[in-house]
Amino acid sequence: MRLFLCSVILSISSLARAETPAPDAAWDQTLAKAKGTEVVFSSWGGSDSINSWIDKWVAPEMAKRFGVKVKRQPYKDTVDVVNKLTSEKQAGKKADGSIDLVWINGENFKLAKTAGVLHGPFTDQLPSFRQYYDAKAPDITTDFGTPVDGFEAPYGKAQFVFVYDSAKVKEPPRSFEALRAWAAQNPGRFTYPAPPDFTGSAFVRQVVYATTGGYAQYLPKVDLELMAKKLPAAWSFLNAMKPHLWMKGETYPDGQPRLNQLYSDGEVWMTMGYSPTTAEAEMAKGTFPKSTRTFVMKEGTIANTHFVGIPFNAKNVEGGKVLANFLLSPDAQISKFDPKLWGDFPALDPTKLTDAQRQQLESIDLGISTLPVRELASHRVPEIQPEYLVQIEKEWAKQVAQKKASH
Amino acid sequence: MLAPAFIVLVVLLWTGLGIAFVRASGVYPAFGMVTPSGIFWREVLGDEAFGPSLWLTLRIAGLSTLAAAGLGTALAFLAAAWTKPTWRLRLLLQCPLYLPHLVAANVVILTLGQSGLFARILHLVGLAAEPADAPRLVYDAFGWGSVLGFALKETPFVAVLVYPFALAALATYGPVARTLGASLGGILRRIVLPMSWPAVATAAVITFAYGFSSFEIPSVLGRTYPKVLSNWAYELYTNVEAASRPRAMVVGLLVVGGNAVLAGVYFVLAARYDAMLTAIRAGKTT
Repeated sequence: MRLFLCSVILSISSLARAETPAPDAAWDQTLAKAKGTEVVFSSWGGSDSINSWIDKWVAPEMAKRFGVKVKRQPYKDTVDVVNKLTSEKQAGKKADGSIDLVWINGENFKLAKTAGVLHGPFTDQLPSFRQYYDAKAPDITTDFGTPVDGFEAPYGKAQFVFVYDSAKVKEPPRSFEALRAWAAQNPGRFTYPAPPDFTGSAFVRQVVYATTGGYAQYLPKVDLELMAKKLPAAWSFLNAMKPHLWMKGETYPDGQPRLNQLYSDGEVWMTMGYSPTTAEAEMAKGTFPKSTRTFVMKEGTIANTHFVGIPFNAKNVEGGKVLANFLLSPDAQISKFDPKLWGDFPALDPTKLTDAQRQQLESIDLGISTLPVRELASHRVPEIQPEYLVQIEKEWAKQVAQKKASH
Repeated sequence: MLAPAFIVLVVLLWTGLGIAFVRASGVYPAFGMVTPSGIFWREVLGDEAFGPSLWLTLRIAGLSTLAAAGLGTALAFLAAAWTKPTWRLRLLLQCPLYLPHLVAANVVILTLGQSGLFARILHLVGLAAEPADAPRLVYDAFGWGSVLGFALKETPFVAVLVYPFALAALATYGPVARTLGASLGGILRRIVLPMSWPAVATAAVITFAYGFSSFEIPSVLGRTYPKVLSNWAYELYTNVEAASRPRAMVVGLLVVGGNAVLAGVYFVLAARYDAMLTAIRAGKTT
């Protein structure tokens, strides 16, 4: 009993330090319930920087501030987690699930929401969300066109960038047409991950935008026939590039980690990914050459928001909420922004920060390889609906991967 | 005595298979799919990716089994004939068994990949202008990378299974055969090999079944297209399109079916072999 009281007092006092404006009894209860528990955070495991930010920064802070132990559980693809939860739901496992918080977005969020395997709505209960986020911004209320409805909390923002070695590539190709020409002049030095890998899928989606007259036509509603009519232009672009790709386009890396490895080994001279600061982190680790730089296409690159959600059968819902709330807090968002740790762009609204917090955010050195925030912002294009993704990935397999390279 | 294990096996295996058949018929209540149909079987069997995938899977499983059975048996014979059966030797033979398949796959990449050790050595000695010009053994169209990966993992497995048989055969009949003037080669060929056959065959069947259905090695060393059946099933299962999951179940069931046929053939052949041995023994005693 004494221990319990102690913990309540402790958690309240730690809350007071966090400058919460209004008392929140429900949240205090959540904190008290979560204290002393373990929370399992299911997270994409393909980046050492991200993994170590969670293990070496988030976990100790969560233990120190809230007495909650964070256990990271890596996945290769978010859909693995959605499949697992769906199977558990069908098998009647309604409680006692093995995951308390999952990093999710886009088509996987839509699938999970459709299958009813997410707990919620819960984002309104998070003090960080209420205080620091623009709850009306389109990139917070929708995820790839799917209404969020409080079933996932914004974790960070990503924008696709291309990464190149400036020692080998003097002037990077800043348009898709230039990229095709560059690939032809430098046979074997470019490739992209095979969709449905999310990095590869995003690359192909951007080729579709660039070769079929832009993304705007697809936004008003899902029109698969329109897309079907437009896609051949994208396939002829990619098939023309195919013989000049790494391995003559006979095979593709299975994901960004494998492509990054090829880049580190010098087999290819470009790589790509959803994080504008990825090159900085890899250079700091010594896996990428020091001459690594990034660029965006003049057609723009895809930007999106990524989120965290709580599974419907989470064993530790309170722990999941406390971790989500902490990940959304200015402290975590600012720490996450540091390219030496991860370099993920904050999802919070900077205008809602205190002056000191804003200064802290602005003082972070994004590094020599990261494009200026203004340049990124002016080259931002949106995602399209998940139905299109499925269609593009399926057709890519048939029209590009299964086609013999033309000579 | 065996009841608990038996029940677990039967319940898990048959309910698992039963659920797989239901899912393969397209019944996925979580995604609002409730009407069973045979369309997913027709779709998979009619898919232009099916033939190449099946052929690739058979090629990889068959060739890696041949290599592992041959090399593993040779290794077991060598070990039985030329060394004493110490714990060190057993450990040496068993050690590679603990190497995960995923690690074996990455070993193949690091040694035989285009930027691997082998390619760099060829480049150093001047046989390849650039490491990338070395012969392509990983991500190749034929599937050599996966064949090598499986062979690397299954050779010690075959050796460990065959070794006790070879050792027993040598210990029992070796000295007699030698006094009768048989050479070591003769002993291995005419005594040890026939007496080790059951172990070699069992090991080969297990190796083939594993190669036919295993995931990791071809997933790391294989191509985007075609994929081996297990990798194709995974790709279908992890597709964000809900209707893709029944197709994954169909592919999974086809893998199970292939292995069931193999097991059936093996049991028939094993029974015949046993009958033959019994007949020989009966002939001798009368």
